[in-house]
Amino acid sequence: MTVDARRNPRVERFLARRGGRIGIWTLAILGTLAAWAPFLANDRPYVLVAADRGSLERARDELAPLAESLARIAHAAEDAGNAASPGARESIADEARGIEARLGVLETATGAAALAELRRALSASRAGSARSADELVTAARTVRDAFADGRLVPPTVRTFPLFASLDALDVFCALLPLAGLAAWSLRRRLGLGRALLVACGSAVALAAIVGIFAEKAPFAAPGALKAAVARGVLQVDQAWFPPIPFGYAETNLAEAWRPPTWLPAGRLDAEGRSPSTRDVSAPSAGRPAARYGEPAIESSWRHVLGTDALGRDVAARTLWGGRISLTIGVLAALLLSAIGALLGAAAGFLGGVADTLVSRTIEVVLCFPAFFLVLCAIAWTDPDVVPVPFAIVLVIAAVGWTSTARLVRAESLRVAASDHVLAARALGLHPARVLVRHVLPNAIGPALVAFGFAAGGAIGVESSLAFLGLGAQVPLPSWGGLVGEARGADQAWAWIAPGMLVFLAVLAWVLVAEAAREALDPRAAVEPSP
Amino acid sequence: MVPTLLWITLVVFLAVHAAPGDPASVAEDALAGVPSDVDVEARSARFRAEHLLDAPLWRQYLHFVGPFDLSPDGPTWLGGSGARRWHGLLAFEFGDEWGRPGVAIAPEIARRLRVTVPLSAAALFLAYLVAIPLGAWSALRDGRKRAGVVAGALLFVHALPSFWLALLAILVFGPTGLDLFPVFGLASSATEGAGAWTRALDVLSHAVLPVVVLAAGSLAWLARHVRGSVLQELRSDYVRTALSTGASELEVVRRHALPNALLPVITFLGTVLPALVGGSVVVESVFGIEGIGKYAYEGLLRRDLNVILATTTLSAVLTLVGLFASDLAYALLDPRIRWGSRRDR
Repeated sequence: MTVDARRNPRVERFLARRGGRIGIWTLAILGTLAAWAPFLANDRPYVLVAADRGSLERARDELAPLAESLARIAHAAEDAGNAASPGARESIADEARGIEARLGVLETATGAAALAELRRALSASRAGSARSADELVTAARTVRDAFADGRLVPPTVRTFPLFASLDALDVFCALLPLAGLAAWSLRRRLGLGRALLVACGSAVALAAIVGIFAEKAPFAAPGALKAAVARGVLQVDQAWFPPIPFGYAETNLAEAWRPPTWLPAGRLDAEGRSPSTRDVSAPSAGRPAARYGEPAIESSWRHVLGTDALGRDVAARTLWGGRISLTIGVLAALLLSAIGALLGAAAGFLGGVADTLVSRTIEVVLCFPAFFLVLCAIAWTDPDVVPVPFAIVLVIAAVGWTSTARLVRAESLRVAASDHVLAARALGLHPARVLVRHVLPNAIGPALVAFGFAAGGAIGVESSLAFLGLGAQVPLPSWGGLVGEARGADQAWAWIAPGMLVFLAVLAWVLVAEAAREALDPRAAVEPSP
Repeated sequence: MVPTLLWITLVVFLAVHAAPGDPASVAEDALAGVPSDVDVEARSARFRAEHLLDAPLWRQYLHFVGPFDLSPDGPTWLGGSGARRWHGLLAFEFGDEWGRPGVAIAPEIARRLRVTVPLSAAALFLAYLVAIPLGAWSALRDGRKRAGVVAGALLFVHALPSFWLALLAILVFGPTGLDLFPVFGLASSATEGAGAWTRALDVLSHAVLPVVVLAAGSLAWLARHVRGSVLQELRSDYVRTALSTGASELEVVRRHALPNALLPVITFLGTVLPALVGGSVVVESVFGIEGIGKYAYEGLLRRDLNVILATTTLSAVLTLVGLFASDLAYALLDPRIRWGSRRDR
């Protein structure tokens, strides 16, 4: 299929359809929200200007014992009269290195005059004399007292905790919407396919670079940064949090099942009680408190969509949930389209035994209640061998490739009889080459349409699995899992939004597939089973 | 049909046996709480022998298909003790559940099939009942505004995830909402001793929501295909000929187009049925109905190999039987198709 670099008539026809436009827009918005979830809902701020007392305190606490142990070694060596023995010198060097490392951390503090004394004592005691080692102990104690008195103050540093916490995959996801935009604006110049390739390639490259150079961020556990602020370990000058200052895994048991703001029961007073409540069905773990960076308890912006059984913010979880659902949908559809197109084209083109084999297999697979088979395979896969998200993708593809294969087979039967294929074979090309270069590209149209339906179907299957508690066993939530966790008429708010997003995503894919069918050929394909 | 059946049993069998881990450990976990004077090792060995876990795969497969029991308890002429004669799919005898020793699978499945089959049949009936008139109507009114609205609505229904729809139905029609229908199980305990009528009404009111939710998934797909089928007939030559003779449009559609358009609709059963059976897993577990779908799901969670084998194969076989029936009906209704003139399924 050649792509007219300036104007692809199929793409133009696709965009002329309202359904196609709505579908594409919906998918783009859902995908962007999911891809940018770390920037929209996170318990770490974009920018943090803060003094980290924690590391200084640790350095200070370890300093005096190290100095004392160095002094002890020096005394022992002197008593034995062999200060220059290699063993003693080695352990002295060890302790000195430890002290120096702590000194390096402490020297970032302001008001570090006491440290100069310490450093001088250290270099003297390296020689191994007991007298200078005693001086070192005294100096270390002075530093400790200086810190306790507040003469040594930790420095205020500007950090970017949110960005530091991203890994290569996150960066790739975040770049994807931009890549899509770039590909779209370059489509006239390069053709849509090549533009997509270039844009996604650059996204992968950038993400790989980040993956190589990224360091492990401090405060990695959910809510750890806020907890550090609460303990006084982090003294914050200034912090700029995302619009939803909650992570997807950040629990707050005291605030379980808080209704959303738009319900009367969701308006709480400063004590965290609802003025109009029937008691919310949660084990109350005391009075809820707003942590650093969060809106006040009574604020209507605190949990706009409410919280779940563990007090996690539903809006944050719903935003993050799209990552699993949408990714699995696209990956499964890609894989099953590839399998189906290849097998279908091979069956139609080669005929004979290959055709019989593929057709029979299709018949058998079609007989299975596919969902049963998927359930089976998921429940039996060993998460240590195949990670569950991949297993889900594999199984959906293994069960779902049949409708694509049937469509492509029918199309390639037609193509195989056409003149250009005959010519290619007459030229003596290898059948595999004819298949890949001449049959497949001309028979792929129905597979493109089936891709849309397959992606929608895969999202549906993944959500149902997650709903039943068999979804991707990762810390990330998925839309279906959110519905499954919260099911129950009493907390409808917690499952209506994620379920609605599953519905929207499936609907958007179906709309796209419909428009693609009409754009490619009005009678090219029928949608696969529900 | 028979080769397909064999393939199905083989695929399920291999898929289940490819599972990692030692299946016997499941049964041992379940037995752990039961006090017994037999030590664990002997019990485990007995279990392994009884379920042929150390036998070659082909022997396990034959045991699974039946109809003869190949375990040490099998008939004497096969070298067994003669305690049991039949086993396997052909004998409808699957032994005990692994997780709950002493609970036979076959009667359990029979009990649950009596729930699932009527539910699925009702859902199927409902789906066809709504989809055919709706699809035909929107084909006849193709291109007009109202037909477009219906087509859009069908798309919406098609995209609704069934678990979400079920929860919404419970929310709206259940006790927290309009309180029109009961939402759990298939019968309430209050009507235990009541008359037949009261009980029938009770079961019916319990079944309304599950059946509607089950039907919704297939309904939209069906209606859209009925629409396509009718549209195709309307474009054909014989309809144009009939119209050109001066017959009224309504008459032509009723007498000529519709009967022909509805013929392929029967074959749609082939795609709707597996989806329906698969969908029963979600619907039954949401509504707490003790059907085959819920049974399979619970078996899966317990990793009960025996239950999984039995339920998956049976649902596939049921689907196949449904397909076969639809083929038969098609052959009966379409005079062009006769035995031997088309390929064997």
